[in-house]
Amino acid sequence: MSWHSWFNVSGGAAALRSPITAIARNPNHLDLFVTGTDGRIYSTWWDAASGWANWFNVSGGMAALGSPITAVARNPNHLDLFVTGTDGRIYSTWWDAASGWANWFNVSGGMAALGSKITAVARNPDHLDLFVTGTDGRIYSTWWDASSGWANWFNVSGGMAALGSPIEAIARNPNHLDLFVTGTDGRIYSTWWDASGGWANWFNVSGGMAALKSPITAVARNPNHLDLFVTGTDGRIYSTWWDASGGWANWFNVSGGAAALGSEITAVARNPNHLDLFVTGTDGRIYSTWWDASGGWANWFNVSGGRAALKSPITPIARFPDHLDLFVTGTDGRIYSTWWHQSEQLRVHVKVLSEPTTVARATMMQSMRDVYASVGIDVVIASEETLNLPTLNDLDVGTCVVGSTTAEQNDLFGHRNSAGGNDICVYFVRSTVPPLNGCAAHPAGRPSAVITSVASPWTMAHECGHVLGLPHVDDPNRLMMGGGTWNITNPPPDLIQSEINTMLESPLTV
Amino acid sequence: MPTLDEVRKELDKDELDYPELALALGPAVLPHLKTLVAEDEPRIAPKAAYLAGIISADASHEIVAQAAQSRHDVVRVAAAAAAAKLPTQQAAKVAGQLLGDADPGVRIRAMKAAATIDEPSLAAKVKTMSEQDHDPHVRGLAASTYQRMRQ
Repeated sequence: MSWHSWFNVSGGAAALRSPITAIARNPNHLDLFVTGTDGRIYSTWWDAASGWANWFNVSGGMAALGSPITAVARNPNHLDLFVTGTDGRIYSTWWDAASGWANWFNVSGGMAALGSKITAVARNPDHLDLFVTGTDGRIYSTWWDASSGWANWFNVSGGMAALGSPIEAIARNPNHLDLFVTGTDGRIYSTWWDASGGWANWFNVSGGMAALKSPITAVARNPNHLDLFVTGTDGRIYSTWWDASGGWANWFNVSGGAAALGSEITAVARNPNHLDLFVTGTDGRIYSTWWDASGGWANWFNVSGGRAALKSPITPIARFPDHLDLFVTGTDGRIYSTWWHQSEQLRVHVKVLSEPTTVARATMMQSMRDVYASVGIDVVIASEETLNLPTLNDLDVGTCVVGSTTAEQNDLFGHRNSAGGNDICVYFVRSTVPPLNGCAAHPAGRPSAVITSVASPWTMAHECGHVLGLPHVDDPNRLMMGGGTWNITNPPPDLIQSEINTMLESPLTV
Repeated sequence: MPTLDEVRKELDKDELDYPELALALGPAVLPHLKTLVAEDEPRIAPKAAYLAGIISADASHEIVAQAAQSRHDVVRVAAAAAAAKLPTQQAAKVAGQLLGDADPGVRIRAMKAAATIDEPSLAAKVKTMSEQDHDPHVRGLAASTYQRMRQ
């Protein structure tokens, strides 16, 4: 498992502790939203094909510094945004792939304290439910339906909270909503709505308490299970769960974790048997832990050295079950991101007929490990052996094209010994005929490459790239450049997303 | 006409398509190849020597013969492989010389080249190697190569 280093997203900045909203309309696209340092509402996007775009102001929108922007994708070609504006009115706009961004409009006359979070849930593609703590401390809701438009705001079951308290809402199924909030007495309350029975009364969840306005985070790993997370009144990070068969459990401290009072614990379920939590700790470091159905809770760890102001929310998003993207406003007010990708493994067996003369073999292997690790592939040197095959040490590789091998290649590649069918065997030979730095042509079922004594630090990684299905490219910054890896201009060389996808889809990476 | 540096860069690739390169550059590039072989840099000189053989023009023999004198084994291996691309008389001269090379790998590659050259004196040398070469791998390969050359 590997976390990438934090990087600034397109030069973006925001007031300290500003929440970054991230949404994935599809697995290869991210949209970010934030209130910038000038109070304007900004967005940028990332696309697998083109990378990060520049930030732009969304339809002239503005909000108090640090105001959260709520985004919902009812379908992959549509976004709805919600924010409390600088005049305390609740505003919305939308983006549609066909028509672009609309103007902001006030939602049914709604108002809230400056900086209040508007919570939105799309139970189905034609319906939205909004929740907010109003200017009178009452908890309000409204809805939008494709057939009837926006309804009036109404108080949810008499619920109240301190001004600005965020309401957590989750739809475990399209006909059910669960709400969570820290009430005016510091108790953690919940209510639910069901299509058949309407709104229930608020109730205290297992005696839980938190500082006023503390955000409650809820995750539904499956339709019959809820996990809650909150920073308690003692600054410890607590969790409880609800299960359809057993009801609510008691609160427990998660792996000894602690944070400043009111800190938001963010959570994501990459799959139904796994949870990842994120929080800014009491020392300003960004921490994470995970829960796995098979192993329970892990210890907290600092994510790639990341830091943020106390109480800064960390935004996680899982575009794929084996991928996480994080976003945060850093201690310098710049917007940072990092990602985690479940590493895949590539097993390599090294077989030496001749040691390289221009670059040490260990350097070649480390260079390959580094460039592959940067894209989430752990190169495992499964075995190393010396082969005494002098008649194959200057190997005839013929035309060195995919699917065509010589008798000498077939002979050499027969020496796989302990290698499995999905392992790559890399043979270090003195030279090839004709003279090449390396060659990845191999017989079917024997994934192999040869590296010669005059190979560059990147030739091994390059030839194994061919074995994984990558063709040559012209860009001298990239590993697969056809102009010779000795001439890579900006090492370490890059792999682009489509190449990474090809590598990860290869049966040789597992 | 490419410059010397352009030819050097062309040869500095990890993988090369020699027939395509020979077609693209033609005999006019041979002076540059001669220079690159003379530089005797093991990363480039073998490729220059082999390309000269593939181009197979009048000046090719001189370049391949020069490569056969290299102090680097990998350059002499390339010369042995390139020899097979030369006209028979010139090929026999280079291959014959390299059959007596101090490096067994060079002798093996020269033997493989000799097997493709229709010159009786090479068969005689291979026969001798099958009996007298001090390296058992070379002797074994020489024996099987000689059998094929007799057929």
